Amino acid sequence: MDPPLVNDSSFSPANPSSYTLSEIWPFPVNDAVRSGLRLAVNSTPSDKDVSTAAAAAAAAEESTVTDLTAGWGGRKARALNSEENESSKMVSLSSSGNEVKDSGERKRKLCGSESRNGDGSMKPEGETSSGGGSKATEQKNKPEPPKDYIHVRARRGQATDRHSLAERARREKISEKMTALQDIIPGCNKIIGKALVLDEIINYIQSLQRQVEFLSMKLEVVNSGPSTGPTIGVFPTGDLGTLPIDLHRNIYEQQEANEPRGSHPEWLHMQVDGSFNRTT
Amino acid sequence: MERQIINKKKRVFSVEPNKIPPSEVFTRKYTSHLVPALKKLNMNKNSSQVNQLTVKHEVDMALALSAQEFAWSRFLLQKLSSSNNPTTATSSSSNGIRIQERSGKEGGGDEDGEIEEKLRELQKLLPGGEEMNVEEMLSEIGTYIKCLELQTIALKSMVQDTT
Repeated sequence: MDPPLVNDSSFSPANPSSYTLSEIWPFPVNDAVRSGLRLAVNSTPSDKDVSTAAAAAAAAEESTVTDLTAGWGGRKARALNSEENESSKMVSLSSSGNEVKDSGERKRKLCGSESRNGDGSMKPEGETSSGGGSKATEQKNKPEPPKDYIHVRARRGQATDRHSLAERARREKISEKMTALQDIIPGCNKIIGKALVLDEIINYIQSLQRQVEFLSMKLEVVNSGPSTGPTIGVFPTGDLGTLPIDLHRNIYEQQEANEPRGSHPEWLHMQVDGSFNRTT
Repeated sequence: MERQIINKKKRVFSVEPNKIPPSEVFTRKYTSHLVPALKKLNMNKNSSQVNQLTVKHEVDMALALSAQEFAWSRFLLQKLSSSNNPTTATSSSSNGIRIQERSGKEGGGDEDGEIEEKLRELQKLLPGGEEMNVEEMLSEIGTYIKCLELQTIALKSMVQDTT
């Protein structure tokens, strides 16, 4: 709705050349909470969210909300979008932080805009207006002029300097990604706490890697010809029986022509994923 | 015959890139890289001392080649092409030891420090993870896990088929 803001229309609807995370991971695309993931891969935004980390442009008008951080942000995004017309204030995009406006949120202080050029003059206003803050938030209908700095709303009792805000935004991004990972790793849903979840993830990856190693060892033994392992003794001629094992393999390979090998991949594909098509 | 099959499969990909689910695509690519590579290994092999490592090398190579849209696959390719096989084999086994040492030290550390430690551990697991920053790494880890899972499925079925 607002031209300077990057919104749906400015994105191409699909990335045919790359696979997006959202396709591989079966997350609902419309979920505002997951938008952080989509940000990382720059996939198609839903109609509610704008997903870009690069456009630090104008303040969002009531129609679009950027949800760079999940958690409380997600809820507010949905609540906001449902009350588009009363726009209590909205947020501008930024690469390091964002706000979501919810008129119902009384704890939120209106800290105004903390500009990139270091103007902290809005701070005292925000801190003192706890009672008036809620009113101000509800009433604040005026569109914010498009500037290219961060509009951030501080939570009650939290510092509003740039550093802590940036750090908070970063932390929120990280925790959002961790929740996304939790959904992938089996059994991680019930675990609370970053450290434990990270432990699980580490263990899972290690076990996957070990499995791959083990399977590749097995593959090496098994795949070197149909005559390895327990069947080694079954050679047809006495000559072969005296040769070292690797030569046996070679000989058998040559003797077999390509026929059994040729059917191998088809088999494989049928087993690996039932929906493969046999394209012979 | 096999080559024809593989070529036909490649053609299928380019016709409808959007409609094939990525997990299938990955698996197909993976097997189509790995199987001929293994065949070639078998044909060429006259000396057996690098059997295991070479297969692992091919396995990793197939993984990297089948997942080229992700950052970690680039790093993996680099590692594979520049280093020799023994490096990859030893690094994966030393990770386990390192974790145990770490957890022994961490008894009295503060929480954030522990979490940092674990994130660093995670970075070591991911190929190229140490060169990325944390957020990027976390997104890449998700895709790496998925590809690892698909890889294990593919390898399992390969092993089963041939036994």
